[in-house]
Amino acid sequence: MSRGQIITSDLLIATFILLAMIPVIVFSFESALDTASGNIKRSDMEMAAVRISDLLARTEGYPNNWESNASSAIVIGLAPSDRKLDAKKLAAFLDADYNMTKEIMNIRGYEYYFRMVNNGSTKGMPVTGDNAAFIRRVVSFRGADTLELTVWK
Amino acid sequence: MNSLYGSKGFVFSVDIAIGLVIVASILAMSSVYILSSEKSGISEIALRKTGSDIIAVMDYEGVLGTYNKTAIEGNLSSLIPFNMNMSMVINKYDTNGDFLDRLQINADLKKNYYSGRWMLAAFAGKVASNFYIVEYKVGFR
Repeated sequence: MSRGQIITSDLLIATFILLAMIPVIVFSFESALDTASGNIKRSDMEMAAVRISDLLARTEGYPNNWESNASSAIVIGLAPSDRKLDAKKLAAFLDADYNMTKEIMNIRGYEYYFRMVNNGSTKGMPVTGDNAAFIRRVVSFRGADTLELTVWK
Repeated sequence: MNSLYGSKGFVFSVDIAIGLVIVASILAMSSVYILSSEKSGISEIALRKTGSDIIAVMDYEGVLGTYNKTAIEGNLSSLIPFNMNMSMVINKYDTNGDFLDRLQINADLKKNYYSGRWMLAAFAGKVASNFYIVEYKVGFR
């Protein structure tokens, strides 16, 4: 009889502890999943920022004369040769419709803000969201200049 | 108590303690893993790209070709972001590929850096007069 009581008390205590642990485990797991999900979204934005900055600073775009008709652009690039920006391509990019450039850059779900530091030209939406990926590239444009790109949501 | 339960209560407490330690360890390790994955991201990619960009632009702007320590260090300090540090060694060769000289730019970075190489030629008129191989290191301050 007394052994039965011991098992019952063990079971009660174990059940109580298990019930107490379940919310802690569930909360921790959900918190970890939220963090992981946030990291994936952030990583996606960061990769977009890196990819776009590479295309802008290191390629001439496609077709190579896309600046003559920006709406025909398949890839927007500003550099006829590696990291040497072209004034006509930059002007065409700055004049192009913002949403169209987002479509071409394949970042429909995000906004972007582009700035040439020394030149002073800007394009896009200044950052107002909580999540942003920022990248800075040093380029040659009328001397050394810095291209800054922020992809944000 | 002991006469009724013997050592059973003690064993049960140890079991619980071990269980709690294991669960806490798993939660802590998974949190550390998730949080550490957040740290390595765009900053390290940007570091590598910034180093490569700076060397390329210093070449295009004719700064590296001057082979002048003061000019190169001055230009480098104006281009590099405040949170980054960069050093380089410029090895100078003649057109036969024979080593001539070496120039150290900024104090050599000893740890936590990415390294790269860049090659350029200096011209006298249309003829290459010297070749330079730049070995650079870039890291966070």
